[in-house]
Amino acid sequence: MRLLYLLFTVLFSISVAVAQSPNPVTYPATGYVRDAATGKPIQGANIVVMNVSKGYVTAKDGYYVISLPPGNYVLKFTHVGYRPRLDTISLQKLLFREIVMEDDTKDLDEVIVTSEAPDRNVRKVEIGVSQLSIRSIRRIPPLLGEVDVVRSLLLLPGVTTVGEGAPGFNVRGGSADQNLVLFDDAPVFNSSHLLGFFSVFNPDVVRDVTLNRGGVAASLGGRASSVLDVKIKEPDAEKWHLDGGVGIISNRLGVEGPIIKNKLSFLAAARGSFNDFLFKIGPQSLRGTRANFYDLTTKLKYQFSEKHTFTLTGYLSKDVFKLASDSLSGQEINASSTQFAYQTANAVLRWNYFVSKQISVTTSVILSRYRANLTASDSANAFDLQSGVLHRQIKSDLTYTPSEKHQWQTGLSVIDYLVQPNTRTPGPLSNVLPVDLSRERAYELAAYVQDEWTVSPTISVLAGLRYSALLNRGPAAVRTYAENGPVEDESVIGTKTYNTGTVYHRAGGFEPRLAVRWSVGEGQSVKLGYSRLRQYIQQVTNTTAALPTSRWHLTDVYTKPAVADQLSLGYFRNTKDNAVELSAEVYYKTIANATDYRDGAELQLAPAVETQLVQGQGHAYGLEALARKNKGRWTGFVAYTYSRTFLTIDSPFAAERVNNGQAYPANYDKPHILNALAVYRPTAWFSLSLNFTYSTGRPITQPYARARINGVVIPLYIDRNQQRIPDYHRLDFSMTFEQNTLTKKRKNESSWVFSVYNVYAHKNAYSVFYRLTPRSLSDAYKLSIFATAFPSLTYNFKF
Amino acid sequence: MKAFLFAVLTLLAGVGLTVSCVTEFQPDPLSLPPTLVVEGQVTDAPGPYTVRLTRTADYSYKALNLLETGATLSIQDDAGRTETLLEQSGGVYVTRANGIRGVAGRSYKLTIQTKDGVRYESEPERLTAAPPILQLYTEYRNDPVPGTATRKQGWDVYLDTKDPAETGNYYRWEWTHYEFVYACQKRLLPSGTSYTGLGCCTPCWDVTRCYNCISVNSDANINGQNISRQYIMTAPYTSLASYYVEVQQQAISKGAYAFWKSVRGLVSNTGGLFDPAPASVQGNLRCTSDSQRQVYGYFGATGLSEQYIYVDRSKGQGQPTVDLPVNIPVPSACVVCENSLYRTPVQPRWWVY
Repeated sequence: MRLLYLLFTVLFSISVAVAQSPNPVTYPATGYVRDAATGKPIQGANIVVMNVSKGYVTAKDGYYVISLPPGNYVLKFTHVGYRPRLDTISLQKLLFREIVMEDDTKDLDEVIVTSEAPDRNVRKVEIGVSQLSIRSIRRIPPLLGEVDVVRSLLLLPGVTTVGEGAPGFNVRGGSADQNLVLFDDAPVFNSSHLLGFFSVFNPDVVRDVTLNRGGVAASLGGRASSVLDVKIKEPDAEKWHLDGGVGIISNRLGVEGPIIKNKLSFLAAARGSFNDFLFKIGPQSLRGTRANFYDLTTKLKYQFSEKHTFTLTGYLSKDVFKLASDSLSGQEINASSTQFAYQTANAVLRWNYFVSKQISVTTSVILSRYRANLTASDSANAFDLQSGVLHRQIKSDLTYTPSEKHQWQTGLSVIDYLVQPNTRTPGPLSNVLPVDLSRERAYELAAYVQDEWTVSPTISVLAGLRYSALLNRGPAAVRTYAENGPVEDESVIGTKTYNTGTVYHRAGGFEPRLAVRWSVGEGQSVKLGYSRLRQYIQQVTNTTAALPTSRWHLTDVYTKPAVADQLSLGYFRNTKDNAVELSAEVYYKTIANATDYRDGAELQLAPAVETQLVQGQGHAYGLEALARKNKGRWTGFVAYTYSRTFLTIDSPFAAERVNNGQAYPANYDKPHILNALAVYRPTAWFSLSLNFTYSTGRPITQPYARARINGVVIPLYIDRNQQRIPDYHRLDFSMTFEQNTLTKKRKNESSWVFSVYNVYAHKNAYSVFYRLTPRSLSDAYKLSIFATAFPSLTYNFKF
Repeated sequence: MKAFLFAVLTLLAGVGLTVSCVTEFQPDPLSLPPTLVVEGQVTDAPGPYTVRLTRTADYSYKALNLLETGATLSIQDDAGRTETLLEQSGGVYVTRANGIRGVAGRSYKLTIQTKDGVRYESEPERLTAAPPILQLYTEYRNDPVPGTATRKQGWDVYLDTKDPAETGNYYRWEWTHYEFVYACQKRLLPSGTSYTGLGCCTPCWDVTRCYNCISVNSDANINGQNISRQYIMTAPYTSLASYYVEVQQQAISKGAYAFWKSVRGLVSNTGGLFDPAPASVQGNLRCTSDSQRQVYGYFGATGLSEQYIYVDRSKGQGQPTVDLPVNIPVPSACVVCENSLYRTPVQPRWWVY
């Protein structure tokens, strides 16, 4: 705690000290450089003042400040991937300009996958950070026409999933709840629609996606494996647009434009699937099924002055599906149908304050609420089971650039968590008993400081230190268990109660972060990264992929925070004027207090979830290699990943051991993964993409023997995850026809996307199950869900 | 889970397109040395009680579960009574007809010594009386069979009961259907349109049970209230005659409940992403002569209550799906109605027709 105060004092005094330094002789010419199409700030754009031959570079947010004596100047803006632009100014006082640069895609030299400067992968200090622009995500052949942010991430080295249609993703040996998914700074607790088939981000509003899988900056934290930062584009401040699309799964409609030109602008986009009328004409067994989702994204931007910008982001998403059976509910209650519903509601108010050309402060108030409901409606057994998480946060970040050699950043964050594990409410005539598990409440505090230091032209260092802590507070009732025994319901010896607001448990520690870049030659660099991440909130589940109704749980007296330490080393090389990129990274990672469930765990309504969970040690290592061609009519990449992830959960007590205390592969341990994407763009209005993916099958548990008891053949399992389902491979294809992109005075744009998923109709295994039937000479069966080629057609428009 | 996948895929692909499929798959075989498997229970109904001993086999359609013969078994209660079981046939051990009888409130345990001298013992199980079945009732259902023009009719049988006020009650339900048979032996004629057969020497009933349908519940969700609409089984529309079913309500221990629940989980597990990962089944037996040696199975102490229902099938739509007729030539010899798992000469308890 004392450290937090100290950091805050430091932060405050720096801002005061620098704000007062005067610069009386010259006037600042300032502004933002942005992408004309997306509004995304362009970082690293070169600015040359023609008359005086002085050069500058834009900062991370596209902001630039050039101090010049009064007079007339011509500024030339250049950046790879964009057409050069000239701007004539007359500088008599502080001058603020918005510069937009048009991309040079019409020149057919396209930079795919990355929207950063093409040599940034060599130049930047961070290691293990990938950025995808929405433009490149759209080039990836989509499943059923749905452009999908999370699915496109699976092409990146180091990112895996437990299966097609599984919610979430796994990064470098971390479980799905170890990824912090941010949508314009607000955490998203469930990133999937329809269980896991599609992601919750509307592609029409996404500007870009950054995945920090190795070097997570000190400004970010709270999850042990990665940070996925999905940014919403800035609303157009000049003119109004309407855009949207029609597809098999969902329909989209969006509007954006200025309410007050260049001052107040607004964006709203909705997406919904209302195609479940198909069930009504389907087989009878599906007629009771409903599956719908929608999401709504809004953003309001107020440019108060050149120094103050306010944005307000709102996001709402809801899924409802109703099944004719209770196979997923996990409740021992007789029900003829079960309805699942889950929703996310987020709001972010952000204030950017450019104090001076050296200092900027960003302050955000963030609200994120996730709620999942499970409902059965049969009158005698009706119930509603609700769980949820409420995340309320205030954070402030200060950036200070005293010279070209240093960029300091420091900040504070306070999160107030309220976790509702499960509440079961019976219907009016129901025999079901009400259950209300006590809420979990805690504050998560964090403070950090970091510096990006250019030591010499060849060496740069990004060093940071973060301190985070979790303070659990009452009201709470905490059990005491007998020592020298396993933590079980039977070994409770007492319960301590705490009043509202009493802090009854603390956990916390430092999280050092370090990245070093050494340029070993022209277009070549070697990078080293170390990071420690701490996680205080987790999703508890005993299934291979977490259900959207799985409860969340805070670190407390018995559940320790997960702590991940990662060391990574990489070599990066660009050749042929950055047209070809090569990179290789290796990493080794340990996760302390990795959580798994006990054999036969019942998690949903356990009043003390520590009796169902076990914690142990995880370790992961891997190699990620990437070759990419960025220019020309053919572009694309090939990525190969070798990675292993193991968990070891040992204890003196048999009930708290998994796999008898021996290491076993995690559910998402897939050693070999190969992804390749090729895009052919012979003209500006047509492009063709091919995508191939191969991975080792995920681990499963196979029975060793069978026993026959009361006529039932029972499979006997001994060790977890020692066998694998068959390997996975698939080829996808898509064609995009864009209209009017060559016409100069384009007003309307439209495009048709035709895609085929699983072109050669490979029957990939989704799961393997063991069953002996007298009708078959086989011991096991393979279920394939996308067992055929899936064609789709989508129409997109923009007015 | 599969239902949802099919549902989503139907939504995804439009109607009539088959998208997901199940194919055979042969995994690499795994093997374990054959381990003892125990099944049996003491109930509060009159004996004799049966204990079966078998050995585990490889998980393959080729393997067989062998019987464990020549073992010495005895059941003890907490009042110090002991009864030694007799081997009735290979691997099947029974108590005497007028021997030990389960009493609610007492605990029972089983000790085993196999032919090769290895000793096993079960944990003592307390017998709890089962509350009576309040009612059995049916609901008619008539659903089209997907992909065909036919419809499937049937009567779902449900049970209501009242849970006692104290917590920690666990239940299991089993049903038995008896059907009177005239022909104790039959053979399909080459024409394929009827059977020829021989009549039974005594009245005889075919016995139908569902072994894989493991129906268990606990009072954790409903303690002290009614358990209502507990699904038992579905009577098929195979005749216009009433369908006789006996339903047994068993009061089992917490351990037996956990055992059967995990068995059910393993039997219905499809290895999908949303299925709980399979775990080993925890029985209540252990090897006392070698703690490293495994033993599987459960020896329970169970309270029973039974009820019956005649399902009225006269309101079914159209013709029932009946089996081919059996012609018994007159005069002809008769065949003995053997008492087995599948047939009995003993008249069912509530049989009236």
